[in-house]
Amino acid sequence: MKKTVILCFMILSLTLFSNAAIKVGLFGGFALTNEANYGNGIAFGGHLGFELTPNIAVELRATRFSFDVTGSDTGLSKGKMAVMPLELNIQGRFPVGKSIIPYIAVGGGYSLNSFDLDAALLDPWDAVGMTIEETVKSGLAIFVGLGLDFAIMPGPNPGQGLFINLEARYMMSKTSGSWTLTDQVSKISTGADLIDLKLDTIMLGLGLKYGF
Amino acid sequence: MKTKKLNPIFLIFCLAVFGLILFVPTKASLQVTRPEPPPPEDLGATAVEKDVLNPKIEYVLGKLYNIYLMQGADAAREFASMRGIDLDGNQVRVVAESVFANRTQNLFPEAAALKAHIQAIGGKVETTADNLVQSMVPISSVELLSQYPLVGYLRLPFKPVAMEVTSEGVNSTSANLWQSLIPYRNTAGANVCVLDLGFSGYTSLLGTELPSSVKTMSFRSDGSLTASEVHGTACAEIIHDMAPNAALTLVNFNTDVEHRNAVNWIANQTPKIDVISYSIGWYNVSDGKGTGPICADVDRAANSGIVWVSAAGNDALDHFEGTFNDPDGDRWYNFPDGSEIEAFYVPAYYLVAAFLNWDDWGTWSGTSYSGSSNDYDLYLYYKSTTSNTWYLADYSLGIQNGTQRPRESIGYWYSTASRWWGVGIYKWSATRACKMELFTMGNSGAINNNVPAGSLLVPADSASAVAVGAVDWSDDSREPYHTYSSQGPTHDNRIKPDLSAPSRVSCSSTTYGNLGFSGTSAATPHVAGAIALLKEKIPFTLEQIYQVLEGRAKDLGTAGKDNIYGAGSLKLKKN
Repeated sequence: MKKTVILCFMILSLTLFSNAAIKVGLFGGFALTNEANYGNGIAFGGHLGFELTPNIAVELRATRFSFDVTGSDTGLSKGKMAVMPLELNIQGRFPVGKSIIPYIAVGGGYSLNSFDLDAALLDPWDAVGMTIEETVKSGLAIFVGLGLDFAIMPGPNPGQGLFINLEARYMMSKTSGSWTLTDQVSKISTGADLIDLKLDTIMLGLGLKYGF
Repeated sequence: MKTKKLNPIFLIFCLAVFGLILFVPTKASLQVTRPEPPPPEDLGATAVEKDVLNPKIEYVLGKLYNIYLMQGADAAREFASMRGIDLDGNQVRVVAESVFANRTQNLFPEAAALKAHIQAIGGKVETTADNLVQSMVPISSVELLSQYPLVGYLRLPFKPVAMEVTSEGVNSTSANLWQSLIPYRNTAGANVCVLDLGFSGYTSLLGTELPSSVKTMSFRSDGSLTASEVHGTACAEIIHDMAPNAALTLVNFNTDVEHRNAVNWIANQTPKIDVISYSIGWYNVSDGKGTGPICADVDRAANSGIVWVSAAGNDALDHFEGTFNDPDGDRWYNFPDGSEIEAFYVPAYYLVAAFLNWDDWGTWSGTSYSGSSNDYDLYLYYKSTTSNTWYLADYSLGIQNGTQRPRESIGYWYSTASRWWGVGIYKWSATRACKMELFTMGNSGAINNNVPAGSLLVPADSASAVAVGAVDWSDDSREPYHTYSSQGPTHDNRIKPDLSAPSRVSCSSTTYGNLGFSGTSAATPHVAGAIALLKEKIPFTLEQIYQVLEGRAKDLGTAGKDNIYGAGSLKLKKN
């Protein structure tokens, strides 16, 4: 039943907005984390947008960034965290002429997270026959952002052409994980959950969009 | 005619030259007094290796580099550990000596370029002095760094020899690898109590061989912690060597009553004591089945969450046990060799003692045994140094008529000369042939009818104790250093000891000194220290930590856990 409703909604949407402009783009930038023992990283990704009206657009977005974790006794140990949020957002767009379109965005999605421990931590433990493993789960994420599309090669219609995109987004995400320490000889193991792992991140991006 | 007179100085000069020619040794004469080095072909692989050495790299450092390249990081780390080379991950601490050897700190413009180069190859400069740049560099970059034009020579840092003594067991068990680890999710630390007879000289070792401060308590009636006994101090030193960050509590006693009070006090300490290192043993206090007053103390400590690490004893060669046998009906026990005197040789000036008990302790109630109704007596003899005549030295004729413990003991006699001593066992009254257990003291070698099996001292027989046997630190299987180490099984047939650990190690105490601390007394604190070390580093329970140690022990003797070595020789890294 649920699937049927979603399908009907999609068909209706495509019918209603069959003239919607489509925008595709790529971007790169910085991911600035909010936790004391997290570093910052480079972010990049791509998006596919549907401009439903001149003032409303929806966008599918995939971003990837990673950052160093310096480690703490209660959270993750020293290593590298990779985050790939997949996001659906809705944008309120406020065109100023044909060339400048500021917008605000709100969205939600799912963040695919992974964590690799630093070899400098693992190797000495491995040398004495102990294995450390730490994992993080993927989880839901909420996004807010604001940005600006600037047409450098405007198309015949508003929303069409080549745009430079500047954007700042804030991702709120909280996940959990676990750690285990295993004796390689006896296979005795201990471990615990890691809770409240905050992945709140500011992403500053610069990219190109092309509107059809 | 005028004759030419020889100048006397010239004459002396000529004589001296002549003398030198006469007396300077020829090659042949040199060969007599100093053997020539082996011919090059005998150097074999060494010569080949030397041919390819980089003269700008110190040999050991070059060897580390080659091992890293040829055998990988693990092999390099193992090599570094053996040689005491500082590693951090795959980086090695090196000193680059500038080609400009006469530079001082302020006149070293090349330093900036050298530092930049070190950073460029993935290294990190730690400090500089004059023409020296100390840095951590990837092992893989050692050769590269040596080729840099400003580097005249690349070497490992020189290290001072500290005025302290570290047990050889630290490296032989690989405890040093663990010591360098940053604790993983664990900030609890470890508290070890050394329960011993005395701690003479401990104050002078605080901050060097021992932690800068220790907690102390004496349960002796005279309140003396030192008690003119250095044994406990030496044990504490080893624990500190193994687990340098562990907090130590030093407690001594002199009697079983003081022992009980001491254990009760230890069990109630805050912060909690994790491990008791107990290099003490008792003769004749219980049935060898893990019961009796001393084992009850061990149980009590274990019930409060303390790991009790106990020396197995050094009595494998001093032990006999066998069922009373009197084929000639004269009430004297006939030992397996037919003799009625069990003989043992005692060097001059040694103390002589003998301890007898038999398997008639009755039921242990938790506080006492119900007692024995079989009565045997013990006699001690010495033999003339000039004839085969035995003389009675002493005897122990305790009564066992239902409630007394089945035990007799004689000691301590002073052997004024090197001579044979002997013991006899006399059946006073017995309703059955009891199993005799005899320990002697003072003998230089094994007693005549030696039975190493079952020679554990109390409380190594306790099911609550980790009993520790001794192996030589330099070679686990080396004879004869561990033949004295007491063996299991317990009298209820459980395997003991549980582990073996290094012995014949060094400690600073003058009584023992260099490689002078032997026996299961020395082995025990290695295990106690190992438990403390792991407790500091990993968030495992004490029980899990002990299982880790057992799992890593190097199996010796009979495959699997056995009654000589237990699970094997203590090793802290995977084999």
